[in-house]
Amino acid sequence: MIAPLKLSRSVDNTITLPASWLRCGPTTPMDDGGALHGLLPAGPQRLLHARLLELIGEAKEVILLASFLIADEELATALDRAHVRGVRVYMLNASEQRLRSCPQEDDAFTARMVDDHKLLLDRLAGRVTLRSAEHFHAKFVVIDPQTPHAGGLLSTANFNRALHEGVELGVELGPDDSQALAGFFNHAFWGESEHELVEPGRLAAVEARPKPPTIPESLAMVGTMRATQGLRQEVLRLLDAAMEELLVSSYGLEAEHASIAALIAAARRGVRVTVLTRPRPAVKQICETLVAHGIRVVAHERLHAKAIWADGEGLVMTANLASQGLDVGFEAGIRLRGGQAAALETTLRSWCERFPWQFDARPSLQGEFSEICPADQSVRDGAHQIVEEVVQTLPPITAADALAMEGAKVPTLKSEFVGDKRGLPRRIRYDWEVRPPRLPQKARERKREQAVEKPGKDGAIITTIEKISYVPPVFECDGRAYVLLRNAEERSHARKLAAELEATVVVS
Amino acid sequence: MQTIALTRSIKVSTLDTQATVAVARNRPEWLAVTQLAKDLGGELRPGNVARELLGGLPQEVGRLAMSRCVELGLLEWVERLEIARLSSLGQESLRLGQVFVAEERLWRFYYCNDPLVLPGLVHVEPVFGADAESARHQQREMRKARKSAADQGRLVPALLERAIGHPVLRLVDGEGAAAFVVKSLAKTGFERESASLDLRVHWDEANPKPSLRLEGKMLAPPNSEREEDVAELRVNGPLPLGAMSHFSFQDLWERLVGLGNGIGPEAVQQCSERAGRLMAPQEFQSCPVAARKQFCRDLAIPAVPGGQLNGLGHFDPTTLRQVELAPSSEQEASLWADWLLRESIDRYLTRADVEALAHSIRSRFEFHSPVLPTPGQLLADALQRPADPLSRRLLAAFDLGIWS
Repeated sequence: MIAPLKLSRSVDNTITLPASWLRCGPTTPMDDGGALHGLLPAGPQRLLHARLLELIGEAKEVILLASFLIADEELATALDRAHVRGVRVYMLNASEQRLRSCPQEDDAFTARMVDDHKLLLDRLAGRVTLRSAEHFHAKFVVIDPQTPHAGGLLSTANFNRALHEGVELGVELGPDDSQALAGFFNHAFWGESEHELVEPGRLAAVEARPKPPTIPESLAMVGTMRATQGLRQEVLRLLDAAMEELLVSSYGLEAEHASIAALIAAARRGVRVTVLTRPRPAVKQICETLVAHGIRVVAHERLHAKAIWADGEGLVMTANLASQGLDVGFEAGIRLRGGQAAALETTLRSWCERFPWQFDARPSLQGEFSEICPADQSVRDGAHQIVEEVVQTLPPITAADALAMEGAKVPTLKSEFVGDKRGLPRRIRYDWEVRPPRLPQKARERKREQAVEKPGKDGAIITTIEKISYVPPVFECDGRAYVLLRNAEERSHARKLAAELEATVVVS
Repeated sequence: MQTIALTRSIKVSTLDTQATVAVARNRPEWLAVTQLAKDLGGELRPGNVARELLGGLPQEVGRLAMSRCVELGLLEWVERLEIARLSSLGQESLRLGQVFVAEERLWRFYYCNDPLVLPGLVHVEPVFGADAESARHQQREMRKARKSAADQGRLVPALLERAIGHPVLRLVDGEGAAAFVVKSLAKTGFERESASLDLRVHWDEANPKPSLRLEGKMLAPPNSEREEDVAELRVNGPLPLGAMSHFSFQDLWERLVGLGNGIGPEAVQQCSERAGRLMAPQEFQSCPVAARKQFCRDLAIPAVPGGQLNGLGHFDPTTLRQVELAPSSEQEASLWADWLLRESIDRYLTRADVEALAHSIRSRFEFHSPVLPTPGQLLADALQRPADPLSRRLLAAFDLGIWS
């Protein structure tokens, strides 16, 4: 019998890919380098978290704590203990209205986290003096600011699970910087807060507003508040002054903001610029713009840190590169020099090397990456695994003749494949079968005529014409002749007969 | 404006006895004759009556009418059966619009023994609705039917005898006018159901005299002549001021405040004299919280014992509303002011705010110079008790850079 012929052919996947995040490495925590010169990375080692709790535990008189969002059980317990030992605790955080309006694509701002935040505030009601405002976003803690042993910690992380899950930074503050930051806190508390927690679940509008204290001048601390845009000025100064290299980390990037224009300008004048961000649909457009100007963009799913390293100077801050933060809001930052700036450079360079995602406006499947996520989708839902090859099984092809299978027509093999649950392939292997043609059901056997001599009644030999089957048998249907190949031994006969009768060799 | 409101219950006893009582009645025909005598200026003749009031009937009819008016005491004969003139009772009857008609019969007397109800007779009401003869007969029959001495009735109380001849204000179903005069009484009578009435004193500071009233209900005698078939008599009318007229408002108010705050009327008097208006001295600790803030309180006065207010008798507990208060001493004023200062710290305050607040509080003490803690002392206290709500309001300013 004639077996189907199995054929296979591979082609390169030439699909045109959109601007995408390309996974160039695994997603890993970023705090394994430990603390450097008072620079504390967040992560599972809990360096930042532990230092925050230590500071609160060391407070003897006063704790000033600001965070956009607060939801950490250990932190709440530490504040409880501080209250019990007579420490006055003052807190600033974002208004619930602002929290509810935060984009849901960000894990840290899910509704559950906001609910946890509210529960924690209710728990602390009566033990802390807490005020909120829509624009409060700074994250820091200062202890005993009116004493020589004042201390503090500026954090890019909210005081929630971001402390040990996020890619974040904290900077320990000395007495002078702590006191300067306390000045920011005081000004915001008296001059910019909108509501005060008066009992569990109830925030009352702030009505009486005593004249707020003046914002202190500081060598290191900079901030943005209603009365100042010191942080914006410092960011622009750093970006504008860079001559060789810029490493910029920011969760948010706003296309129209002056800081983005400053980044592009730096790239145009030859500065090597690397932007570290979080791979989110919201930054797709700005990333396209940045890479179009030669800026490298890398990302980490948990990046939230905001920092700039520029030719040896550093800045760690709580604001994103966006107007809601640098221009408007309550944000704080600390200038880093010397060893601390070097530590920031080391940290950011390490991140650049190890961040799993790289932005590519026109990616090719021939590049070195293991996953790809269109930039207009979240990496959680939109990432596709890259596979070397996928097999596409095509419908079988019926050969024109059972004795001419190799010559069957090759099917159309598409070279663009968008991928499926198996992943996005660099190559597509098409498999298909060539099958021999079959005898039509309506076909009737054609027999050949043959003269046969036989003795007659009278004994005389008579010649008669009889119809006998071909070997192999021949059939006809709709005016076409078919030779039925019944076994391999009949191949040569069938070929010969088909040629003779202009018939097609078929199988049953 | 201060107001005094005092009440007490009064037991009203009743006695049924034979008596002659002149009762004010609505008799316009006799008042018309009396009025004519007044109009004519002295001499009224039968012809005047016949012509002016009787539509030209014979003079004899006018004479009969004049005779009846003389019998009722409205007129007096100047010349018997010919000329009459207005009597003093006729003058009073014209003023009241009623005619006193003496009736001898069985009456029920309602009386009490109270220093503010003088002479003690509250009301009289005819009994049985029968005339005097049939009443006497009935009384005789009742006595015969009773066997014990007690059943023969009791002597008429002396206070009823003292009431003979004194017009008694009408307190039942109306008020103001003299309603009846007891002319004569039998020696004995029978006690009936007693009643309880409320005696009420109401005195506004602006009025020179108080209002003294008796109010309540008493059972009417059975089968009364009253047209309405009611079993109750509604009492609601004024009483003569009696001993109450010996008191000024301030005197009575100070005595009551003295009873209420336990300090004594002399201290109350001194306080009011210094203030130039009614004011009560108050100790800080016993002063209610709201009163500490308002310098004013509703002062509960306990039951006034009988001998406490000279001649006025006892009174039920009462309340003096909105009594203006002043600390009872300089020391009390300082305690009070300190409390007010701490109570007023209901928001975050700077040192200057505290000083302004203290100044404002001192100005509320018109007659004292209280000593208050300084802002520094308050802050030092707050640092000792940081969890205290008041402390937190001061410490926030201190901790967050706006204290001074």
